[in-house]
Amino acid sequence: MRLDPCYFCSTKIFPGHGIQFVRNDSKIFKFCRSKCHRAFKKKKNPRKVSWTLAYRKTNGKELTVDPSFEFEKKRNIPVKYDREFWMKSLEAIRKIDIIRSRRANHFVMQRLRRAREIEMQQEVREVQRDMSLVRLPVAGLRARLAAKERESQVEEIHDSDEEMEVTNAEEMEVPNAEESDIEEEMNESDEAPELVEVL
Amino acid sequence: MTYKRKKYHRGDTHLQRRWRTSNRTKDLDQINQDLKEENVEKLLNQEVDADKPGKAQFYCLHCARYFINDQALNEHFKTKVHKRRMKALETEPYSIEESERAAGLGSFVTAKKRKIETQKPIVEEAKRVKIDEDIESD
Repeated sequence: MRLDPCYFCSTKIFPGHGIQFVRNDSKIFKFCRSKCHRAFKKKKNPRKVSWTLAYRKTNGKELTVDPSFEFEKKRNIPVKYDREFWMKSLEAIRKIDIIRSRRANHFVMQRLRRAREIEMQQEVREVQRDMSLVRLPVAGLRARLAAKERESQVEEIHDSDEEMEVTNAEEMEVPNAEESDIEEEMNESDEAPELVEVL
Repeated sequence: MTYKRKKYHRGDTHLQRRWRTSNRTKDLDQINQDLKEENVEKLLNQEVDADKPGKAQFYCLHCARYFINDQALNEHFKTKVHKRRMKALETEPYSIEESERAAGLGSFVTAKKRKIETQKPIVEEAKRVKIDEDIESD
């Protein structure tokens, strides 16, 4: 009994399933179900249909090149029955199957892990690019300006070391007296930058 | 209670007809065979066949189509249908062997890209003369 792969989706065709089409140049196309047969009749390209194995392999979704693929072959020469040979080959098939599936799974996991890293990088880049949406560029502008003014006044008297501390403190905390003024300004300024972005 | 619609394929007849086996056109892998040099010569210099359009003298290799005269053929080279076909032939066509490789019989080889060029437009009089002679002999 031979389990041939489907022409379209490359899955195994079990006895009693599917249909085959013989083209007028005597090539035999085997299909596992009507879904695949219909797609063939519509001349769909299996490489471009995402649920086929051909698609998954051309697009690097699955393991493609590996020595473990070289064992399975079409052998058209009949071999005389030999119990020992038969048992050995059965055992080998089991072993190879385990190795192959392990490698295939490893490949997929590696691919997913890499995808996660790329995703993280993209997210970080996105946040950095749209930082103005998270925090308004004009937020605390008046406080900063006031701090600068004071700085220039302070500069005349004090050393530069002290003024650094002052500016940092000013940015973080807004003095109580100016709070109401800043809030008003914030409300006005909320609309302005958005307009600019839209333009 | 809602019911599933029953008639999904109403008015599909023209499509069903196109997908019938009797209406099958050449597949891409067959055309790929035709593009080999020995076949190209045979297909481009066919004998006069009264059953084919243009008596089989004006044939587009890539689209596997006969045209009625050289003007129609040369116009066809400029059409979207032809350009689309050229694009499709740029990668090696899918085959039964590839479906087997995808299933795990041997390592999978990704299809190569290649350059495909339209055949030379027919300008010579020879083919038209060939048809004329045929008409006279009739």
